[in-house]
Amino acid sequence: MRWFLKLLFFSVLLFSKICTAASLAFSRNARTFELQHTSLITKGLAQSCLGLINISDSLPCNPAMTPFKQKPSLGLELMLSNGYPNLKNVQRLLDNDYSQEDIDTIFNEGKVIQIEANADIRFESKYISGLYTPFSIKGFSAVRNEANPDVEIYAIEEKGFTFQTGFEIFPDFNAGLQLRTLNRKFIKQRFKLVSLATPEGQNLLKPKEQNVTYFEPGLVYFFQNTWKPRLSAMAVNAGFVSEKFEELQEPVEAQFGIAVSPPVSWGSLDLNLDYRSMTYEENDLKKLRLGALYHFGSMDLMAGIDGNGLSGGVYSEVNKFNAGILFSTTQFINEGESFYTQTVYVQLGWQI
Amino acid sequence: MRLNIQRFLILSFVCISTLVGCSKNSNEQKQDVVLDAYRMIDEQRTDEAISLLEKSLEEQPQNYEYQSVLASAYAHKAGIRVQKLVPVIQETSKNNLPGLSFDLNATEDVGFKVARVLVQLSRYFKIFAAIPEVETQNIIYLEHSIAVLNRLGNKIKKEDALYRTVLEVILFKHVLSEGVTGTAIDDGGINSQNCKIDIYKINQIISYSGKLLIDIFHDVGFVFPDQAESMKSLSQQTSQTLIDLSSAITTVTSIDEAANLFLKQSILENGFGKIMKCGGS
Repeated sequence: MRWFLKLLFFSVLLFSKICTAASLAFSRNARTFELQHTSLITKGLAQSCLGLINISDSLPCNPAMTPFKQKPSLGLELMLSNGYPNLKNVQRLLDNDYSQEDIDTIFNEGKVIQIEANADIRFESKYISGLYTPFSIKGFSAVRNEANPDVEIYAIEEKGFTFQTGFEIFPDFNAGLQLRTLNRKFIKQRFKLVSLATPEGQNLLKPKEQNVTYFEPGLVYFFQNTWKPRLSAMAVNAGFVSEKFEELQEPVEAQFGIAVSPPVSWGSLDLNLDYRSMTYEENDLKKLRLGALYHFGSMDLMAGIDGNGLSGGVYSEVNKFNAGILFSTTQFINEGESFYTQTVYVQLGWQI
Repeated sequence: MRLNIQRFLILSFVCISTLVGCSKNSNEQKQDVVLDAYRMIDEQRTDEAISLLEKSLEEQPQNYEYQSVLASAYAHKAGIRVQKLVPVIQETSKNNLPGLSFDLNATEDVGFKVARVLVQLSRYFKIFAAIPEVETQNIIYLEHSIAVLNRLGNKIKKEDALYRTVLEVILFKHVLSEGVTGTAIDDGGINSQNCKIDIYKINQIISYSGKLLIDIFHDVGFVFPDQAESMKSLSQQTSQTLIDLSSAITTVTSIDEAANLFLKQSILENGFGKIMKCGGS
């Protein structure tokens, strides 16, 4: 394990140098991305989860892992991030039912607003698993230059279903398919605040809507070794979109992951390194994500690092109930070198 | 196998870490200048922001973004925070501006003509109450901010034209509020303080601010195409009025006391008083 600890130390040290706001426009939350619907544990791992066989609070990231689910389960998860007082403002924006007060609140009171709130109902079994998301809202806005404010905002509401199935093609080689279908309302803009007073600006905050259906195949191959090394691959965002929008790019992408489960004295440990995009705007190097998940009894400890930031959290199950808390941080370049924007997510759930 | 995996992982991490420190492309650098300037402005380090942008403009004189942000930096130095004005701008843009008539050909006394024009203008000036004032010593930065935006010429975007309009309106208000100053006179009554308006000065200030007003009309017409025609008409009328006022200035000297009283009451009742100082208050 010594070599691994050294490796982890140097990786964290070097990754931390790039844990700054990657966006040319604005820094943003390290773990909330407008087009990604992820659970608390997945966020904690910096979204490096393609090689994870089992995730306690969500469906596997890779549908090829579906056959490993031995016991059927049904669960409900509710997740909320800090910034929740702005939830209603964001909701009203998305309903196109906002007032001048909402605008003032979002763009005038405080420079950065960030919010994520999700509700999921999940069913898992060995052959097919499903996730119903009745409610998922993500919002972010940043205002800079008080002399002539420059604003970036995204607000997205999604509702939909995800289904997964998988099977073993050859020994140690699994394939799976994920079907995602969802309805999406969104606002994603960057503009000067005074633009809102121009005729063109009247449509800047008008929500757009699209329906998407994606077929996302996944593969996983297990090497025979005590560390259970495995290679994962997945293609995402292949399918149909009712209407394409330039500001909301969701291209087909190939994702890859390497994972190992080194034996530990107590509990189990998973180490994951994934190559996958969250914003579809990162350069290749910033698609690399590193995560560690330690499972002991009914508790999960997770930690992750990538070009967006650091994260760490704990998730625990007690009887039929579960709860988790996650902390993430990233440097916000607009606020000076020493300031880090920090986000806390809380998740509560129930499962049988 | 175990050794190979270890080597593979180590190699992967080392490669990742080494490669991640990639260099920035020119677009990123351009954005960095803008972002840095934003940060400095928000941290009240406006002089540093101006210095950074001026230096960057020496290297890229045609950079639109740098010029636009530089204009806002000078406006910031003048003490302007547009963020607080946005609700006012939005409210104003939703309501059509009242029409003006500068027809001075009617056969009425010149003093009354001037009063009528001022009364009409006062409808515009009502919104001025919500516009902040700039300290006299900072006006130079406000003027420079407008000059920087003027350098953008026909390339100017509507949002920046609207921003320039806001700056021009603030400057316009300053010109009027500093220039239109009455003299407090004790007339001996119960409400003894009266205000004697210096019509010469008003005339002078209106002439001085005429160009500003025309610029404002032009920008409003550019930003709101549906008002372009009326703004063009207003610009022409304003221009004509300024010429007429200039030629009528000698006649105005004969304004009688009754006309002066009417002038005063009219402009005060219609909100023009909000921009007028009397006896220093």
